[in-house]
Amino acid sequence: MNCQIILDKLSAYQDGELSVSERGEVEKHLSRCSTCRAEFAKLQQTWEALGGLSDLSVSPGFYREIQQRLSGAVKGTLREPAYSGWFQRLLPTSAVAFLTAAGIVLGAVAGNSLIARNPAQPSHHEDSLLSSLSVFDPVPPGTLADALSRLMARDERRGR
Amino acid sequence: MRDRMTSEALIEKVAQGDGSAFKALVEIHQDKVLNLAHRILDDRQRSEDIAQEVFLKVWRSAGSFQGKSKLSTWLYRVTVNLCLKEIKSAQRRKWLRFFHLSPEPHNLAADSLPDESPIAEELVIAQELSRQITDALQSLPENQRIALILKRFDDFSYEEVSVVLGCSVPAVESLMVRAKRSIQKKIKNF
Repeated sequence: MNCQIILDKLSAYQDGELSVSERGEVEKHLSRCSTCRAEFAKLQQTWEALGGLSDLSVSPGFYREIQQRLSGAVKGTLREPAYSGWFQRLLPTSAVAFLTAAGIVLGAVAGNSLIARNPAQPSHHEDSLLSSLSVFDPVPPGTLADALSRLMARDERRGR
Repeated sequence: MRDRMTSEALIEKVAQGDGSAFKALVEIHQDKVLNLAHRILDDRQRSEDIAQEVFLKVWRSAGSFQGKSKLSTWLYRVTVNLCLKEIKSAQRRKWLRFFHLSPEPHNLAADSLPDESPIAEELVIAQELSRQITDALQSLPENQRIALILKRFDDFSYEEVSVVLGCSVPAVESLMVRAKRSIQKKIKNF
């Protein structure tokens, strides 16, 4: 087996997960190859270092608390709900105020972009707010329907 | 083998509502469950809460344990699932704190006065090494971290790890290779 194959198997070899024949091949290679031996030594070093973590023991009242939770005497304290009280804290938060203001500005900009400026408007000095309300007319100015109704009105005036 | 037979026999009694069998089962597995949760989360308080939650689930679901795997494998699967839920929940709380929608966590360590007693140099070094190892573990993606913990500290086989994580054995092997490489790079001065 070449070094790359051995290196790929070193972790599983360390974990005791290779078959008997594979283990034999790896050990045979390690006995001859100092490079792979050095790599395996690093793996072993890391493995030993992980053993530096100490073990904990449960607190003295651990089982009593379980009993209390089972009997319903104490509510579970696993975690507070992620959103508990968030609604009550909404009003004064600067973040929400900023988002609200941003929403108003965006809405105003989007609303303005919906107003079609009609070059045929008789007066350039009309109030822009009043003119924007004309979009709600049954036949809004500047539309094809408006143009058609103007043509029909002109024809009627001319007696056609 | 004796311990495995003991746990499996105990869970049958727990399924029948036997309180003393439940207590015995808790005492056998409580430290291992706590340490698994703590190595995943690195938070003593939450790890102990989760350990309690694991045993509450054992009491409520003892009848559903079918004995297809070791009881410890089942316990660890429940522990890992609760830890992963807790990690997601903690990420949500962090996001809410960013928008000031949730209070800052109460840091008990920050409230206590610093200990001014002299500490032996060896203890300081040991604590620093332990911190490096913990930080290195915490830097791993959850699945790599859990696979490494189960293998290193609980001597699970790849197959047992695959049951806990719900993935294939080759996937576990790959997780282990990547986890060891990452840890190797991060742990210095060994």
